[in-house]
Amino acid sequence: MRTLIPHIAVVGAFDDFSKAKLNEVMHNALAMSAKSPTCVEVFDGAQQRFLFLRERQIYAAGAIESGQFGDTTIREFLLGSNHMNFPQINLYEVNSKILHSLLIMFQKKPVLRVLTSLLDLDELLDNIEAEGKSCIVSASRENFMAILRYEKGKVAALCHEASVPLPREASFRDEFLVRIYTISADQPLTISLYEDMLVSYAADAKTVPDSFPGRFEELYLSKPPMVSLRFKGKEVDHWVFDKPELRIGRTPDNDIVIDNLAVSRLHALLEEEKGQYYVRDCDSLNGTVLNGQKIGRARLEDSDTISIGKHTIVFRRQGGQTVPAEETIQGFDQTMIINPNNASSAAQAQRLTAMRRPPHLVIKTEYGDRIVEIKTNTVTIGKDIAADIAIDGLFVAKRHAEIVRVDDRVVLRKVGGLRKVTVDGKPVREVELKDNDEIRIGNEAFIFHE
Amino acid sequence: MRYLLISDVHANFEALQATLDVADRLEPFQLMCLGDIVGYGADPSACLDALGDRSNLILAGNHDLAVAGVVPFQDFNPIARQSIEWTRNVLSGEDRELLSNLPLQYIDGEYCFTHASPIEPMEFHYIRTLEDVAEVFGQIGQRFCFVGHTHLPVLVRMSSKTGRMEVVRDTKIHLEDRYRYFVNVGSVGQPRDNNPDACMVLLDEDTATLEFLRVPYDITSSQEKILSEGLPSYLAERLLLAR
Repeated sequence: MRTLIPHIAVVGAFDDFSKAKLNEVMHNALAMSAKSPTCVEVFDGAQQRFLFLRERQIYAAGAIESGQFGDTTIREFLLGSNHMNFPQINLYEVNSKILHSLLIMFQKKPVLRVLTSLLDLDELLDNIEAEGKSCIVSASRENFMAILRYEKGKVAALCHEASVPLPREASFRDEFLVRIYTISADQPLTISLYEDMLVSYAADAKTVPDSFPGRFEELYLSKPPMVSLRFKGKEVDHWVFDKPELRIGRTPDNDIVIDNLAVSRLHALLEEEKGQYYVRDCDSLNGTVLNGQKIGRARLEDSDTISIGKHTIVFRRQGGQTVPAEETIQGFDQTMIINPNNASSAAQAQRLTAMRRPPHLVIKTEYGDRIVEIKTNTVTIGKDIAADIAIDGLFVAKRHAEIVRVDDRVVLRKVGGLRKVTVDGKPVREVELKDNDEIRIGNEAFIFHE
Repeated sequence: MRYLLISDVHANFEALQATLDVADRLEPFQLMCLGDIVGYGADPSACLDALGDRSNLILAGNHDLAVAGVVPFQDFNPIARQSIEWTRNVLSGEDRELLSNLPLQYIDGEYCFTHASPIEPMEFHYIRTLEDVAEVFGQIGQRFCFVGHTHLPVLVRMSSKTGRMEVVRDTKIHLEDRYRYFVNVGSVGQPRDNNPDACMVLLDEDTATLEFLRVPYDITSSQEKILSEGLPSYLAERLLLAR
């Protein structure tokens, strides 16, 4: 069953989903969002995922699965969309009221959810008006959804698949009831009442400048953090933090095994939650120390050091380009009712683009040049969706090559896959890069600049 | 000639038995099994026996090869891993030997059969978008490509002339010469398309039709067996959820 969300207009409908197609639709949605809010829907037979954009902000995301609404991060939207089964994409124009009403449904729990007939519904609406409530009432069943919006007991809007500013019947309330009546003579509907109207943007919401040329995946699916285990100042081993938790302990069933009696069997956990990372002590005998302080559970920042016995674990957050949400979207009204004059974030936009350039790669894309900087972290190239430079093609490995800084040199290494990696036409395994070197893997080419 | 195509039985004997019972009424046909006979479910050995007797083709799936010890199972999720280990212990050496010798791909005239993507069949790549299908058609010469692996029935046709592709959402279609076809035959033993009934595909060359068939079966018995063998309860739950 698919839920048809309220909208002003369907701007585009595409059944040829690909990562590139989704990116293209997102660029369109973002451009359109300068004028009015937009929504991108990706759906297959089992689930629907939504991305909401406004004022050039990638603002919020949500998902509907088995009739259940839930809010998600934008990262989850992108990851989830890439794991659907032959999905379709729709691009909608919405307005502020529809956007706000939908976000309520994705983010809040209804105070009331009942299967009902028109008769009961009338009584419910009478009560809302008598009590002067601000709330939304949604009515939904298969292939239908309408939202009636109340502000202080007065009907403020009706949102459905062809929302218009003025009611077509005597009032929005009448139109709401007529719509429901015409589609549901025999079957009851699910009616939900939401009174908490305070919604917010996704934890990883971002303002994206007009000039952003690239793939949104690169903004959101930057590499997972790395965790390095050190002993007496030397790295013993390292792990990619690409799952919900990493277990640290003495016994071999842990992800990070520290074979030392000072370490408990399961000593501590590293956890990911909505794009943030945490360390949690698992009631270990000798405790877990973060940056010199004994902790129970604490959030991890880049370069944090966790001490367990005589070992240290260094947490490295990678993909430095992403700007934390709270920095990106400033001056946002948390209650949202959207201020159209919010000249949001020219400064933030600049922050995304105007960075001093360390050594970097230039990649030509259909949206213009893309710059990938080579800072202290490893830059990975491969088929992996989380690679810094994600490339496709036959015989390209998930992790095909990497670029690392060794002291002040920049070194390119081939790490997997059958395809050759060439620099200025010569196949290489490991080579120091020089200004203007052209790196090629299959059809993909990058130019290195010091 | 008719072909009955099944995949991803996953040791669900009730689903397989119900499927084969329905199949009896469709004789004659060649039974083509596209892999993952074992893993997840509680009846690996009975499923192997039943399919061994009936099938004209059995291909290797990633679970089959993991149970046989041919591919490492570290890449599987913890629940799959647990069921693979359990399966390895209950199967005889002979059964594991049989699994380890299953072929990865079978090509017959204009048909190409694999468990997952025919591109690098040992890697078991998923095919989830039209882009992926285009890549497959670019790499193989056959007009038909049949796969399983995702547990999600799908039919895509591509115009041989223009290369235009579309997902066909009908359950029965007439096959036309001007198209190439990509078919995911769904799963017998653990459907994930919100429909818990066992899924199979009947390809009839004489009438040039292809049809997805769904067979209800005794899910409760399969669930009880999974639970009584001490396999993860989620494996029982998801049979009914069909997710």
